[in-house]
Amino acid sequence: MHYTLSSLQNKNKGGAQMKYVAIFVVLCGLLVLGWAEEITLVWAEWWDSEWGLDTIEYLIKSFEAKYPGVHVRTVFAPWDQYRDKLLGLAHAGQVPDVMGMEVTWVTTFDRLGVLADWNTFIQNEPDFYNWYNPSWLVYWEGRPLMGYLYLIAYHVLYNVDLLASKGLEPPTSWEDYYTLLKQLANPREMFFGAALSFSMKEPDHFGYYLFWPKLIQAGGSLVDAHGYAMFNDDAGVRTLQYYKKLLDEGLVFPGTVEGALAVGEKEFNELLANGRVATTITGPFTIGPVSLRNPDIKLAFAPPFADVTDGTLVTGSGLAISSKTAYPELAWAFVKHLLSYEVARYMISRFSMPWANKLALEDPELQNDPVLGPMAAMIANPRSVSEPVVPSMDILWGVLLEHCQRYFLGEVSAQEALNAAAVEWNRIVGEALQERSR
Amino acid sequence: MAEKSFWLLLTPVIVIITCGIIIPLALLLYWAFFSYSSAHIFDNFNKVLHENIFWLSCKNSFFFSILSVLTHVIVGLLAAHALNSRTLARYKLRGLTRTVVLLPYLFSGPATGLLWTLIYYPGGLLDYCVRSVLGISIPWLGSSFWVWPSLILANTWWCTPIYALFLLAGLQSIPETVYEAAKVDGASGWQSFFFITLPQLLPFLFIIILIDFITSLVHFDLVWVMTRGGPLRATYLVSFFIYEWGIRRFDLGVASSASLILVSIVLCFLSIYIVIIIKSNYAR
Repeated sequence: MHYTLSSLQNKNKGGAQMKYVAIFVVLCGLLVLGWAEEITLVWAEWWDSEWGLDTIEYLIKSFEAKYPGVHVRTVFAPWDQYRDKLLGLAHAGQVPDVMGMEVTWVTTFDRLGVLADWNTFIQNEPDFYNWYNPSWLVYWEGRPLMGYLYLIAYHVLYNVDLLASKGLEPPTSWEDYYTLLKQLANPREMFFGAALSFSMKEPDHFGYYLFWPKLIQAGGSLVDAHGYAMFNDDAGVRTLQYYKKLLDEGLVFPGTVEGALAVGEKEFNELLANGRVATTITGPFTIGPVSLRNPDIKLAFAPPFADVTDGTLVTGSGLAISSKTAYPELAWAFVKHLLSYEVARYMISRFSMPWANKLALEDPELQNDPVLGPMAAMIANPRSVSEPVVPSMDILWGVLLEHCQRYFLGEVSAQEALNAAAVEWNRIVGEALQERSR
Repeated sequence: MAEKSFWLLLTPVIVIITCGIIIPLALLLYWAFFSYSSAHIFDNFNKVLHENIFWLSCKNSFFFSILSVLTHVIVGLLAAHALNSRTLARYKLRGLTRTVVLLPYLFSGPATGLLWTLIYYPGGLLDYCVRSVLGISIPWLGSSFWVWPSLILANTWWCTPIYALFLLAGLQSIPETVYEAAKVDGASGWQSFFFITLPQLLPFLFIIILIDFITSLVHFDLVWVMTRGGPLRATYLVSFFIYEWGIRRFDLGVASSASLILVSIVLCFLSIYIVIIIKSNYAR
């Protein structure tokens, strides 16, 4: 056989090519095997900007350490865009395995059939209720579809140093709060006692933060057992009158009624963080984003108020598991991890969040926490009211605020505004209930 | 062979039109007339027509569209004129000015909304300037009166550049000799504009008004980010109504019916508009 130099070179080239192909095939095989072994769990959440990425990473890494081969990927959207993004994913059939969820949204997502019944998981966990309170599960049509991750009572949150620098004490009653706002307001310097949620951008914030807790304290109820309006009574009128007094007297940022109707949560977080307002009415979740903007700020909740009753609204933000998940056991394990004592202690110490873990909340050390102390007292108060699931709640808040804004702008009386809101509210609830019964 | 390549070239267009227009339209019609929540084929339409908020949203959308078209055309025309000026050419600034003027259009709707919300925000840039000069604070996005000019200004800032660019192309298509002849005949600047520029630009204006009116009527993102329909639903647009019913309430029947009603209204207006334009062309 005769070999020329070039044929030898070609032969060698061919051998080298074969080698590369073999290496490529082996690598592809390893990659495929590697992928096959790795399970990716998708967690939809809105907390990146509230807790910071390091916290999210801690929550994920500590879970992944317990479950090697499982990778958690997050789908993030800020709170005000989150529901719509999740709805988009659900409509497209790409439901995340674990989802951050609000009580308000439960009926909407249940209608799409994407929420798993937690009974399926809880029945295999004999010690579950040793560390998780049954009232923290959110039921709709007899099924627990969501569990609180952290609990919320809405109250006056104040800048500790700012109040101290002006020689003022935190308020202890609604009247006291009004007096404090009067003392603090300085429109010339564009400084105000409070920034509050009256904006159409987040109508549910008006409902949860301002209207509902004050209504309960005034002795009223928002809805009956079916979700029909009960707020258009004396208690409702007094609640609206109180807030109108604050608006009319220019005590709420930016000092005019119409201006206050345009300020949303993003803005009032900024205002609180940079010391342009001294207080707001909100839940403990505000502490995270405000502290991220200004790490030196010291915030605390005022002592619980009492009017006709000292109870208030207790609700929470939580988690739901997808009914479509390919890994229900792992999704449940991730939920349990997020609710665990270890995570609860971390979140309580880092963000003063009343985490939904009985053992962590019962810790005596926490009772003296300036944030958690009043919050824990309000949550534990037997006269406090848990949030019921009301169909189409996210739409209903818009209806209520629209009519309340008319009252705040002086177009109608408080009673007229509440009556008009109640008529529309009941029509929407009636339609939703009728729809479900079909 | 020629027939083969004809079909080969046509296939992507057929696929895109089928998937992007025909199937969605068929689904829209199906949901509007036969959605699961509807007992009678006109139930969804009946529901939409009896919703006061639908009519309010239609009114708001038309108001927004008319104001948007007016400002886009007027400001666009002024901007196009400025961009076409000889002074800019003399200082070799035409390219740079065109790039700068076009910049706002590179922003997305939500980004523009956020930017302008910060400008209008109490204590923000505009509020600070107005308070410093006039000593009063104007609730730009909080008052039913001020919210419209505020939105229109933001929308004009965002959308005008693209229309100015269209009009600039129109201006550049007018031969210089026509202006020179008019000048020789003693025509003033205004006369040149009204008797030469404007008639020559009419085909461009016709297209711009058409496109702008339709896009403004179905506008969503900028207004959603800035007001979410508030205050007092003063800026609640028809696209919000469709979105609320279709996505939030997941009642595709009502949302599809509302979309069909909107399409019908738009078609009616556009037909009248096109007939007027055609008649005026024939009359000439």
